[in-house]
Amino acid sequence: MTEPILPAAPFVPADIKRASLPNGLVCLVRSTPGLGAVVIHGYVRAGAAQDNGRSGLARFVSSMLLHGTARRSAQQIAIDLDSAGASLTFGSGIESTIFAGRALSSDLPLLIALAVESLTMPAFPSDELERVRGELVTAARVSALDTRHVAERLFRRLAYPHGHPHREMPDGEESVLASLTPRDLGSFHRDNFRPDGTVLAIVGDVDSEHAIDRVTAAFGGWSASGTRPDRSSPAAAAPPTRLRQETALPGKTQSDIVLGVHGVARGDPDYYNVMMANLLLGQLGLMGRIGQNVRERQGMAYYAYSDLRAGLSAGPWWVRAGVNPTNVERAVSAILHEITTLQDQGPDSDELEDARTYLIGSLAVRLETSQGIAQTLADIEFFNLGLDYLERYPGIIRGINRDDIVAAVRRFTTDRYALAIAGPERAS
Amino acid sequence: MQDLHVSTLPNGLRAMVLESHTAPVATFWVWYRVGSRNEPVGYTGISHWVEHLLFKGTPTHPGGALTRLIDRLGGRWNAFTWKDYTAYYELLPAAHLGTAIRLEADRMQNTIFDPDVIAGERTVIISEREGAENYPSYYLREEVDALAFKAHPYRQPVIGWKDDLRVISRDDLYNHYRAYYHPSNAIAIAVGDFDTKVVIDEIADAFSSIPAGPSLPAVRSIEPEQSGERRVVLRRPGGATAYVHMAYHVPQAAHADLAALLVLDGVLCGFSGPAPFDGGSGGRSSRLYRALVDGGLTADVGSGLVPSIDPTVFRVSATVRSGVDVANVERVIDEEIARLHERPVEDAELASVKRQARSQFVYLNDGVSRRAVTLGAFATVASPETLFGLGDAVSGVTAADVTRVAQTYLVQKRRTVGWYVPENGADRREAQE
Repeated sequence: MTEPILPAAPFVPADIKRASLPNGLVCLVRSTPGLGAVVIHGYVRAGAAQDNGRSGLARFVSSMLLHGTARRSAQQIAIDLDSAGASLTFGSGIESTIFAGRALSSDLPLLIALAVESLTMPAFPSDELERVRGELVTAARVSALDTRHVAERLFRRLAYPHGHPHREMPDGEESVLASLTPRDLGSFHRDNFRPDGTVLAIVGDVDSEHAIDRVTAAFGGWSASGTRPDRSSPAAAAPPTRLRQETALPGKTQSDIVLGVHGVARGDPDYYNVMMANLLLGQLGLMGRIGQNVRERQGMAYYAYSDLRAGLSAGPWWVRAGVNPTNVERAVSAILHEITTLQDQGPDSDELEDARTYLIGSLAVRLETSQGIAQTLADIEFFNLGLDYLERYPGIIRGINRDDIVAAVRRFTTDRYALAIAGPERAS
Repeated sequence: MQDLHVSTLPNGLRAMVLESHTAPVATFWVWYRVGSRNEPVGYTGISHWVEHLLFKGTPTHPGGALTRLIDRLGGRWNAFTWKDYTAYYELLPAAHLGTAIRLEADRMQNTIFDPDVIAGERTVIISEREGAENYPSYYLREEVDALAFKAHPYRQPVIGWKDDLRVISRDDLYNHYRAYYHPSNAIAIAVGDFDTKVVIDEIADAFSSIPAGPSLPAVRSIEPEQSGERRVVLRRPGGATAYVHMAYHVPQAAHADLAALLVLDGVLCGFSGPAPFDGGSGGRSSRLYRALVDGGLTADVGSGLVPSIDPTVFRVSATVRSGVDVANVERVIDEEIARLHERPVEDAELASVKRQARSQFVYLNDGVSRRAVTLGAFATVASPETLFGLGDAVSGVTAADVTRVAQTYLVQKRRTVGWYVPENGADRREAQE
């Protein structure tokens, strides 16, 4: 067996230029000369968690940001991007609006100009709004017949109480999307799009100082009144018992399963232990122990994996699988068996060492592209990890021991969880 | 990619090695010229199934040892099967590229075809297919391909027909592996932060002892020229809205019209970029986006072709907005194609598409994977030179060229049109609009 050679951190704090603007926006730049191109990646702390009972509001707002600003029409934005061969996209998650773009280095000014206009002065013109509404309503209807989507939606409804940010899908409800007005969108934008807490990472063939100057000039005038509202999620009680719900959809062949519990937040002291437990459970190699059992040994599924959604707040920690409807019960048993086995016996020493070397070694792979570096930088800032994070990371991973993992995997309670299934009608 | 080093081992393995020092990583790929194109009737899906089996182990690396080998290095590995090729790759910290090279050489010739493992994988692959069957757009594409080609194996789905998947045997799989997995039917590609000479030596050390292999079974089918439109209307439950999918016959990747067809795609929906299966970026100022999405008729629209060994199809597909008549969408697509036949594209429009193309070629150089996948695909279906010349070829495309390829290929009698129309619940929803 080849002995791993642990690479040095792919970059050190000195490689990153970081600027905190007086309005609270933080910009990070990593210069990689010679590529000829530049990417941006950023977050605004406005997401579906701020929908306030109108599921889909944040998504509608983010979908409208490229559809007209105080300075450019939707059509002009499309022409400006295409004629530069550039791209800029906005999407909305539960905790943030995510933006990402790419251009030739010489077009960084265009990318920054379009980002600042879209984020700070969207116009929400009514004709564009109706077009986008049509797209979103169609997407919502398609999702409502998509078994993976429906299973996740059911899971969230089972696992989280009313009003909890993780109860709803960021995609939104058709009835809400159908009724939102330009005023609703404008209010959401005014209340939630603020420079404080906004992160912008730039990576590529640019001069760092020059890029910071451009961002400062473009975003420096963005202001918001008052202080950023407290966005901490309400604590939610875990499922009190085994909750289960199943939906039958017409014309489907496969059943999709979501079985999960509440996970941890990115800032939780236990985060790395849970992350490692999740890796062993359903990710390492071919989807971890769950993949080994459900796919490799029993041949039941093309996909069967676990995933931890750790953000500013604790998202779900779930196992997902797609199986033939006749195999649903067998797959659920196999999943629960793997969780309890890891809880009872803990990881093998080889398995634990594999997981450690995987995580440390994969840093370089995650930072292969400018996009990967930009997202990592933005995440480091968004989660307040510190620019020396990549240097500290191997030590953090080395510090996780077997007992930590056993304790962490016991958070995946096999007597209290939510289980959602969507697929064809099954014989009971 | 002017620094690409190309060589051929005595056993026929072609090796293409490119240094890239922008990140401390490297990627290794082996491309086999085998896919659903090479599958006889009754054996569809066999190439993809063999791909799955190459992850199951060799005598040197049994069971999960292969994945452990890569995991312990922090690497990522995977594979995919397409009509023309099956490609395997590793991406890992650059110092470990040799491990990937040796792993690929090992599984090229020593993969274990264990009957029990194969039985388990049969249901995994059927599950993969059943996952796709949950999406009506998948069924529609399958129907359109099966209709657009009546003789050529491009009519077959890469995953295979389900009844073939139920009966393909261990020996069928082993024979397929033996027929196609050898150096003279493969291209090895390395891109990354390494010294070219070292990597060339590592490839030679790992692969030189493998025999060249037998000559390949020929793909003899030639698709007869289509001389009348073909149509299919797929009606089944499971979908919320209608989809339209059109396929026009176009030439193979090595044909001189490839560049003009890529520009044509750029005019219709934005330049897709040279990497296979890459959607490109943007395209919101393109003709079909403006007519269909801005026009309120569809939720999305896409067009393009996958450069192929044999003549293939240029696709136009769209998700129809709820409540919109699919015939209306088809009519608007037809109007836009007729415009291309009748009037040359505007200078500014052509310049925008060419700028998109230039940018896409620059973006290829970010990281190591995009260059490796693009090079591998072109080397397999045409030649590396086709890719190297593509930037200039696209720059040289004129408005007259775009008109000519539109008039030649995007014509009614050379196309297949598919509609998916939802049944049951979705109709009720539409009626409420």
